[in-house]
Amino acid sequence: MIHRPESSLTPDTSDPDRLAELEALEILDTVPEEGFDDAVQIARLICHAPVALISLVAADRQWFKARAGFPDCETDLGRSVCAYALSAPDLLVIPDLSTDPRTRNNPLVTGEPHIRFYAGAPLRTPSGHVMGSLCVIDHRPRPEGLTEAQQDGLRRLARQVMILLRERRQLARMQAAEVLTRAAAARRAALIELGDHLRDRGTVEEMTATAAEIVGRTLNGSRAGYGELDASGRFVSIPRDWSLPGELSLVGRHRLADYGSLGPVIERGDTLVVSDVGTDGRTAEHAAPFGAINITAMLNVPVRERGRTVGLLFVHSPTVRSWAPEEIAFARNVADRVQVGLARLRAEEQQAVLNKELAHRLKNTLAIVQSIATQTLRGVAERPLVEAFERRVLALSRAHDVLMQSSWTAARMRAAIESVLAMQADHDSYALDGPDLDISPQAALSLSLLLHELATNALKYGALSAGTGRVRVTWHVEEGQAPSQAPTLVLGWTERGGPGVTAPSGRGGFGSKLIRMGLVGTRAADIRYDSVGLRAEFRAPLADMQPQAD
Amino acid sequence: MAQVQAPPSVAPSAHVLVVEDDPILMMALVEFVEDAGCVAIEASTAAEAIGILEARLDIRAVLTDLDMRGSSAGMTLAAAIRHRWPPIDLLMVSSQPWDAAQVPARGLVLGKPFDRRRIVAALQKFAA
Repeated sequence: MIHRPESSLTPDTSDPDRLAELEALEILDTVPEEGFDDAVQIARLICHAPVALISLVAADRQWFKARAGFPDCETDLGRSVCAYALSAPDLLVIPDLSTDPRTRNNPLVTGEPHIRFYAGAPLRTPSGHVMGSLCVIDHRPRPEGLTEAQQDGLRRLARQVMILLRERRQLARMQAAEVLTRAAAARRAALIELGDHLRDRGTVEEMTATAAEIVGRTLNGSRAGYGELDASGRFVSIPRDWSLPGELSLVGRHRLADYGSLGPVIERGDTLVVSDVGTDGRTAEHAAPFGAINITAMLNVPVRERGRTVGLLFVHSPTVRSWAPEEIAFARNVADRVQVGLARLRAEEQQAVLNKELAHRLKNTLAIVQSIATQTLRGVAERPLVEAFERRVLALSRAHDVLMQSSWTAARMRAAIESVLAMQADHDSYALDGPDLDISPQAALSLSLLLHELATNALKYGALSAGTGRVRVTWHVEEGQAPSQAPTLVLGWTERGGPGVTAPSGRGGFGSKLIRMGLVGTRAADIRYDSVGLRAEFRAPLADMQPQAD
Repeated sequence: MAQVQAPPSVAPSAHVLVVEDDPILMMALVEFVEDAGCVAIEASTAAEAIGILEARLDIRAVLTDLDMRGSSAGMTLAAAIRHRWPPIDLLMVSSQPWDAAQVPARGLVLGKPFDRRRIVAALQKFAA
């Protein structure tokens, strides 16, 4: 036997590179796995040994990933024989442990279970570090050691164990990567979903509640919500929140100071990231209030308007959690979108107020115009002319009423027609038939003034001058014959049941001119004074009647 | 011997209090009242209107603008009249829409610009 220096009697297990590689395998203290259990059973069979182990040697202990015929799952290094395998170039075979200077004082040799024979194949990584060994143990000495075939079998099996270890780690890494990929996909999907919701939601509360729920679910939080910060920046009001079953709702008003020194970060508009409220300097002294609402980790993302923090989007976790940068970025992204959504709502609210005020002023001004005109024309003997003017102003205002409902961007054609005709006579004097198109503001004004003149004439001379007469108003879109021909809007006015009519003599007044101008000034007006009543048809390119696309 | 004019056989014209702070609109409203065959009495503020109503007992109806300075003055006046002088008829004009719940009982709100026919018809109905 080769004499070994005394120093080699205590094996060196502390090589940091080796330990790092062992750590990276993520194998220590894991549950038993079939592949490793099979390996020790096969080793036992090959070597006809009562004990077989896969032993991994850490800095201060050896831990068995698989064991057969051995009671403990780990031992200290003082009881380890495998530790000597770390520096062995090949198989380490000790025929009689009770006589070998390295092992004769080992408690497992001197006492229970009185092991006598050891043969271990090193578990060597491609970089050359030995993680431990696949070993067989007997309770009697084996002066003959292992046969060539047994040695070969043990070596091959040890290589299989190494392959298992590496593939196991590979699989774990792939699974972890897949979890990350799935989380990233979930965040992307959540942002798309959020975009749809923010467009549809009409109030601040609906918008913020939807955003909070999406953030909470996507980041696997226990609770999420949106709190409005009051003007003093000291109180947060939570109108609604989302939480997992069993979690308390935080709906209500909260004083920020009760939860630590969060104010300055939030006021600045910075994201407040807390992994553990118990150790974070800003919250550590307020562990009790956080405990009461089951918060250990949290994300708070300020939402700002006009340079001031107006609210907080928050996500809570009942356990310690280090928020990943992409999770923080996601929450920030959602908060930014909420911010844009809120700005849109505010702008719409202001626009609606302005529109109302504008409509109110316009109508008051039109009343003043009516009054100035009638007072100016006091001396005019033909009062019907003055009244005709008053009523044209009224017709114009009716068209504006319809337009105001859509912020002067477009009008519904049917509403515009009904509004102006209602000025003159009961609804049942008219029969309306046509598709409900959107028409431009100019088209609505033109249509209203035109119909007003037609209705005025019908009432004075035409179908509506007798109680039994009726007017039929029809409209439709006529597609062009050739593809190059643009579609045309055709408006029909047909009177029935009144006295016979004849064309007025001369050029006629303003009303007649308005009628001849047709829709949006096209002059495409076909007016027939039939014996059964007036029949008129007006045409205009549909594109000239419809609102401009944005 | 002084000639004594016989009293007219037709019923005396109904008096309508017109409340309007815009002098141009006042001219139009007074004309509507006269078109309806009534006598207009003018008040340019709600306080003046209350003073006239307290002093005279011959006011049959009130025609008031709801868009006067101090935005709610017109409607406040209308509510006060309905409360203190229940028999007086109320006709209001406004450029804004009003909820039916805001309008006093038996009150009628007509829009601006003015529809002379409807305003005159409403006043004639009150005076009848």
